[in-house]
Amino acid sequence: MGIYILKRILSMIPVLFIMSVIVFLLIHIIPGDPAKVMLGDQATIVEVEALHQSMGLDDPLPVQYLHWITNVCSGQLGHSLFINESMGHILISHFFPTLQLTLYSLFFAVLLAIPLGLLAANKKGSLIDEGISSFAMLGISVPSFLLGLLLVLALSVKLSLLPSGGYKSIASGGLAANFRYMLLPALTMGLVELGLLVRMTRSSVLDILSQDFIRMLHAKGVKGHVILVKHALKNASLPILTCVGQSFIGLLSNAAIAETIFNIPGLGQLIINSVTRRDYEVIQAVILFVAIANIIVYLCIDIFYMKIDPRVKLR
Amino acid sequence: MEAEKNQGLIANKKSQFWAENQKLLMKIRAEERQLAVKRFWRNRLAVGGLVLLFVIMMLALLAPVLVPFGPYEMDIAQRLIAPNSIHIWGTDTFGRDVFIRVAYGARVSLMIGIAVSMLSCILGMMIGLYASYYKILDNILMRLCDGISAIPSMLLAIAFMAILGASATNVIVSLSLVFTPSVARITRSRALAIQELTYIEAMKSLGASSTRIIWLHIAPNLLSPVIVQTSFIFAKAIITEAALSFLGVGVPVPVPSLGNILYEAKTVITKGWWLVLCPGIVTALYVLGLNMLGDGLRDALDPRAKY
Amino acid sequence: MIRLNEKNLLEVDRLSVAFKTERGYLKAVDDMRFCVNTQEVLGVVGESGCGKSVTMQAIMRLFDERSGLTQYKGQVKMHGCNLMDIPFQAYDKIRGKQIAMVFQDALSALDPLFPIGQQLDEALRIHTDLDKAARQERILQLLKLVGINSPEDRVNQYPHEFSGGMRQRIMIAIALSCEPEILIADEPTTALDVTIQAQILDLLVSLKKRCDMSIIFITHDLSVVAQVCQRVIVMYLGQVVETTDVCTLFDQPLHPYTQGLLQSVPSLSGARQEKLFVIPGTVPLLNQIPEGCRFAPRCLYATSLCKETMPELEQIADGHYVRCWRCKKERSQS
Repeated sequence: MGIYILKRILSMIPVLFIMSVIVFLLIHIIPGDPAKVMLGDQATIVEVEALHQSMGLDDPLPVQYLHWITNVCSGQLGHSLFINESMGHILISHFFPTLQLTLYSLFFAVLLAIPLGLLAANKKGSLIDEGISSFAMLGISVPSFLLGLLLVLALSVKLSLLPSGGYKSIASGGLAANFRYMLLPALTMGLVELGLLVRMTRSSVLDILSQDFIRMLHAKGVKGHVILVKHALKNASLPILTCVGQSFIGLLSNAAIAETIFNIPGLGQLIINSVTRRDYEVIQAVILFVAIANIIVYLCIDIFYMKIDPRVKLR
Repeated sequence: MEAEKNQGLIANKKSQFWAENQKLLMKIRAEERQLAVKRFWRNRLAVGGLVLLFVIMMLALLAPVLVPFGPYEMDIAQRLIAPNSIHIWGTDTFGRDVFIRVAYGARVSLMIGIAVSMLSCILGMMIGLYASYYKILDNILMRLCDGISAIPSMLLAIAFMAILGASATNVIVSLSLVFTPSVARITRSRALAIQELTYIEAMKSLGASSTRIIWLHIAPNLLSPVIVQTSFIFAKAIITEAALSFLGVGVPVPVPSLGNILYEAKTVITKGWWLVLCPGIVTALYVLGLNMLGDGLRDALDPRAKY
Repeated sequence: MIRLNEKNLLEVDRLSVAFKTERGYLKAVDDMRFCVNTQEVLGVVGESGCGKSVTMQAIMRLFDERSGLTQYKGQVKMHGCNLMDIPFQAYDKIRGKQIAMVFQDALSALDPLFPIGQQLDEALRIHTDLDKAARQERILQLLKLVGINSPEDRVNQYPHEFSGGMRQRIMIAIALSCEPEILIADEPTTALDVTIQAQILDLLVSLKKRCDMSIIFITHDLSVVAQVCQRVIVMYLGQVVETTDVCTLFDQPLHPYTQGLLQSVPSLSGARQEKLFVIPGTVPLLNQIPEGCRFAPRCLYATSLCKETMPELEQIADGHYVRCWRCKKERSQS
């Protein structure tokens, strides 16, 4: 199994390389002098020159890339123009709230989506199926920022049931307080993923149910619900798992929406503020971070595939 | 003399073959198109989506006729007024009529959606077709697409907007770059499958030029999945643009977009529920209509494929 | 009603199965009538799409009639009691226990994510009260019975780790595990090559005696029929057109379709023919079923009577039933 993982990592290196080149080039596509743009119109020529030098912008591009990639690999991800901390620290401290939000949303989505998807697949064509499918369609159609605003309007402004914003880490307020602040944001982000997962579960399970071995199981006398949960779901779990992984990354990267509405100090808020402040190196670092997380998630999914499906080992 | 005469005969035969081949293919394609159209109209979801979008479009186009206000007209005295008989959907923080701004916003979103889907469709098809045909290009282009896809679309779009600056054009450019790889990938995989078919080999052996083969023979056969993917991109582009504008990094104020109207509404949510509800409902119906249409298109054009 | 003797294990009486389509209910199987005796192999022969599998799946009640998409009519009696009276939810107890089925493609018929031992165990757990150790023993016994060597090692392997013939044996083992009285084999050897086919056929014949069960053998291959079956029914477009014992079928086929089928089989002996024999015409679609005798459009002897009225399945000789006006006329003349 170790060899398999190693092989998968090796096969991802070309993608990692291209992705890193793209992230690297982000700063260099800036029209004009990146240093000047970053410091803004108020900066003096001296300041611009200084930044220009420290960023090494006069060297040829490949040299700059090598410089940058070696820095990245040794943990130096650049500097923020506005936050006086190491980039690593900035990333980690902002990562935790986003991670919490992501996990809450994902948990909510998966918990509801799998039973609903199974039910819809089992009763295909019936009213229940149409109802669940329509609900899923609605879920992926309502933009999350709209949902967030509506939830705030309904539950915080009109009914004052839940806080309209802010964040309490588990360390400072305990789990209950943390959950209370996270509930609306999690619902906001989770509904879209719920819709997607329901659709994916339903279609994967339907695919499996049309296969021969399901008929064989019926012919053996296995009961319908056992076939559904023990056999169909297990066989369908692989594409569903891929979807869950994609949802995880989707939640991480779209977190900005909930973080903006609910004022949560996560990666999303960080990147938006950095855009406004033209703090490009932070943007670069965040993107690199999430992109690598993306690749790690896919690697984990691959490992799961191997564990669940015995046919994968042969490859 | 003899050789020239022979070449002339062969050329004649070739063009005859081309002509008959073309006629047959056209006939088959026409039949397929008719069947697809029939399937589309039978699909209630697709028709419903089309109707929904049509209604919204009509609203967007007729709004200037129905309402005497312009989207940029400010009337500070009339700020933050709830919906009434003069302003059907109320006014915003600057006293602008919400209804007309939403209508214009729908137009802007539509234009961006169309531009992005057209661009990514054409670019994606070109990349996919040439990558499938030439092995050398395949590696380079597909690795590039993989690299772009490795970065989550929202973040990449935000990054591009940060670099290029906020404007509607830049939104179009950013989103096109972000969505092109998906079209490229689908095009390439279908193109590879089509190239396995014998008639492409036959074309090659008859000496048809690569451009001709690619554009006249391979491309028309993968229009179905490309159209479906483009419709999905259309929906995604509109949602992503709205999200970007909502976050303040998309279409810049004061140009109205469904997203940035909600961006402005966010700060005054306690004082103006209509600022959230009215544009919100339009946006939701918009996206719902697009998704229904996309589903219906997929069922009609490519029922066996999985997206 | 076809009644051969009092030892009828299974009696199918006027069974019809209709499926709901855009154009209303289409009958895939109409007026099916046949019997199966104890320790007998009944062959079911016919072209693809003639309703062989649908009949068997109807006997196994694999289509859920509760959704309204399938309609059953007629009776399926086992030991005198009509199985169609049993509601769908309660039918799990019959499937696998009284009647078991073996499918054509063994790779797709086994769940790829579970080892074969567990798949065998599942059937035993549902239908028997044996405890875990007893089940394990029985599994090993069954695998030995179907000819899988060193079963202890292979019990934890997955379906894709076996060859085609082995997988078919495993399917047979699963089918046998709860000692069914009837085994329905739906083209079990079609997907296998000829040498393996011979092994599986031998296995099935030997199991018939050892396990005291009857086999309904669906196939389109007449040579297989000749090898293993005692009696045969010939189907065309959802109906039985001829049924008799296997020797009579090959010696004196009465129905024109049966005759055509037998003529179509190329033979290795005799004079070399220039062209292979082909029954003229093609099988019509289910929604274009002709009035009168269904085979009439392709039959060389068709008369106006044949085209207007559907002949009944009638006894022509002892144990020999045919659905044909011409055969009936000839019998009454003789």
